Amino acid sequence: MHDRLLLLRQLRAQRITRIWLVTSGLVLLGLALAGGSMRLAQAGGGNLFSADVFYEVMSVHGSGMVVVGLMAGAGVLWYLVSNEVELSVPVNRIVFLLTLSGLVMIVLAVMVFGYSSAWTFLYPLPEHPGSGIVTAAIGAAAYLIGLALAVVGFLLWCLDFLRAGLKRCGSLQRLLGFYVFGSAGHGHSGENDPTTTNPSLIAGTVCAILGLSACVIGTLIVVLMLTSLVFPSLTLNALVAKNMIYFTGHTLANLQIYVAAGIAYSVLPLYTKRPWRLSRALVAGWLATLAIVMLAFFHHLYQDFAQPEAVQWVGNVVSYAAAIPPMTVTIYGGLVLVWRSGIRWSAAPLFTLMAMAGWAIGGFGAVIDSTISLNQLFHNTLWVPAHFHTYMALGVMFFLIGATYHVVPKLTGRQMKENVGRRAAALMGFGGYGLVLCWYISGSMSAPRRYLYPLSGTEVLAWIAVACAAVALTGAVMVCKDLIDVFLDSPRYNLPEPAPGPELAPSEV
Amino acid sequence: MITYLAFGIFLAGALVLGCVFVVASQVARRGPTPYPEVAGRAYRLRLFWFFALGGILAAVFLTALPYVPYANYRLASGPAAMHVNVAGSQYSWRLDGTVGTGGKVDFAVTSVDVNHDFGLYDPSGHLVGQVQAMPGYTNHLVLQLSEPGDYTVRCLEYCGPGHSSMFMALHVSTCTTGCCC
Ligand code: HEM
Ligand SMILES: [Cu+2]
Repeated sequence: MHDRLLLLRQLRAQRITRIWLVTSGLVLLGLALAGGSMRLAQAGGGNLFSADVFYEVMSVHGSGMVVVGLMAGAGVLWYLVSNEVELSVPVNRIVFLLTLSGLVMIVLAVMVFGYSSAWTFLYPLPEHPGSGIVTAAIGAAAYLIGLALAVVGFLLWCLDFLRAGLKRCGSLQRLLGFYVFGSAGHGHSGENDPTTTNPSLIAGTVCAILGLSACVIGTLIVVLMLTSLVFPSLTLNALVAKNMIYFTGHTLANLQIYVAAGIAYSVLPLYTKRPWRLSRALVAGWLATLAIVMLAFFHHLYQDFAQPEAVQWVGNVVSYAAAIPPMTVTIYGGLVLVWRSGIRWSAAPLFTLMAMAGWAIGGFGAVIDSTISLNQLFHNTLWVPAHFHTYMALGVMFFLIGATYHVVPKLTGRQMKENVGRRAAALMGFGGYGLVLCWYISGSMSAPRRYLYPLSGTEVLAWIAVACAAVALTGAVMVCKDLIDVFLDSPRYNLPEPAPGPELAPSEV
Repeated sequence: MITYLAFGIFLAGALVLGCVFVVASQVARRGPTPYPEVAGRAYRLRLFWFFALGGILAAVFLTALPYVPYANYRLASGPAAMHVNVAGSQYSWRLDGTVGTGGKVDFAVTSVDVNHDFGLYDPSGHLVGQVQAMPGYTNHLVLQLSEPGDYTVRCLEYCGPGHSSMFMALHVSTCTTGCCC
């Protein structure tokens, strides 16, 4: 490509990434504050919000976090690999607009029309919301349409990622790194060969394939439920609908962490000054993940005894297997990468390391819950928000914050404040683990999730959790404020140095 | 209480993981040691770790196997002495039949509107078992209740804003047939 065209593309990529970062930073912060208000309402025994309002807030918090947590990661990964594959800037803009309009629809559905059927929208709840709000049917339709918009946005992201990846590598097998299994061995086939793949690209590709399948099934179930909403005589099978919803919902929620892993592959090596190499284990791990994420969602249906039993066992075995690739490839590899590297723990690698800890610990909580006989006593107790907040709030979010500290200087030419970052990391770490610990304990005491008030015996834990959430949220506010300050205080574009040395791209070393 | 045991194991594991990360973050400051040296050793160790992890998971899987909640396993040792029909609706439970401690109880659970979940809490407030109540399906939850007293049925699947008030008391007597008391 012509140099000036290349520069133009870089500037446009910067611009859209800035928009992604600022928007998702603010939205995620707002949603987290809403989460804090929910925790407070629960501790107060349902006096702060009416039941209708509480479940509306819960619906916004859950849906928003799942959508934006995923899309923010997708936006960041897009930027990090945009020098290695020719991702399309216009497509990225459309993805952003679709996501944003989907989110606005969802918020309207809830705030204006009183949708309160949670992010899981289990059929036939949206048709029988049980809230006595007259516009709830319109709310349900608006919610489903909003969800479909966001899902189509992610679908486009996936398609564009695959297109660009295939353009670079020529075939899906090469893009996924199959060649490491060949005679050439551990990815050394042609160091300077521009058609080789790298760990971030492999992660993104696996996410794109999984995302495609989730989006297709997701669109289908949304259309079916909309049809059933308009023509109530058309009824769906509740078990089939539940399988489709959890296939989509679990996959999209789970993909957040895998997108984030792709981000870590690009970020961490720059701070340890060591390459994150392609290896047979890495490629095999991602291929396994491809299969695992497709089948793990069955663990959401263990208590649906009508589900064929064989499927339940598949759910159990596959959910256990899901622990192996991260624990032996990504998290293990991350620890090896930092080991005796002489790293200085600035905010970017610090948050990335903390994120890996959250992923490992939350994953452990998930493995316990995915044991069929334990799930009998943990299903839909507070153990569930405990484990997924550990790997989302203390995993995905930390990966994203770490990447933000890394990317912002490239976008703006300005650094975010290191001391603010380190203090925020401490607040979010202590507050966050306190919050989830209260949930784990309450869950083992059988306290139900999605409850307006604490189960008797867990009241004190609920109040401790509120205090911890406040501490964690203080850290989140500090990071967001710093992010906004830097953006407001920087020029619209950050022109690269006249002759920039080729950046140490992790893949190419 | 098995959930407390699970929590204890979780806490121990989480602390070990936490320590690994803290130690790694401190050791990371040393160096830089040439990467091939570190990587070579670490990746030999990985094979061991891979099999250890697989072994632990397999062992846990096998240990948990006998406690499967599905009716065919629970009824393998003999039929249920008592049968109770349960129907959930927004926001109440309807139970037909009486429940005692003298034998297995077979709860046949369904829903007349949306998804609910029949969760049975013992007199001290701990969950003893649960099953989804789904429209169009009847799920059988088989439980052997060991102590008599005042149990609580709670809905454990979000079913609308009245969800947290969807509970009812259930008295469990010491009879064996379910027809008495
Ligand atoms: C300090 C930050 C946060 C606080 C205080 C918070 C609080 C809460 C609370 C109180 C609930 C309801 C739990 C219950 O079932 O009783 C909840 C649910 C949830 N949260 Fe958070 N949260 C936070 C951050 C996050 C983040 C970062 C994510 C994801 C990226 C997230 C995703 C979810 C989801 C998906 C649900 C499930 C909603 C549902 O059950 O329908 N939260 N959160
Ligand atoms: Cu309910």
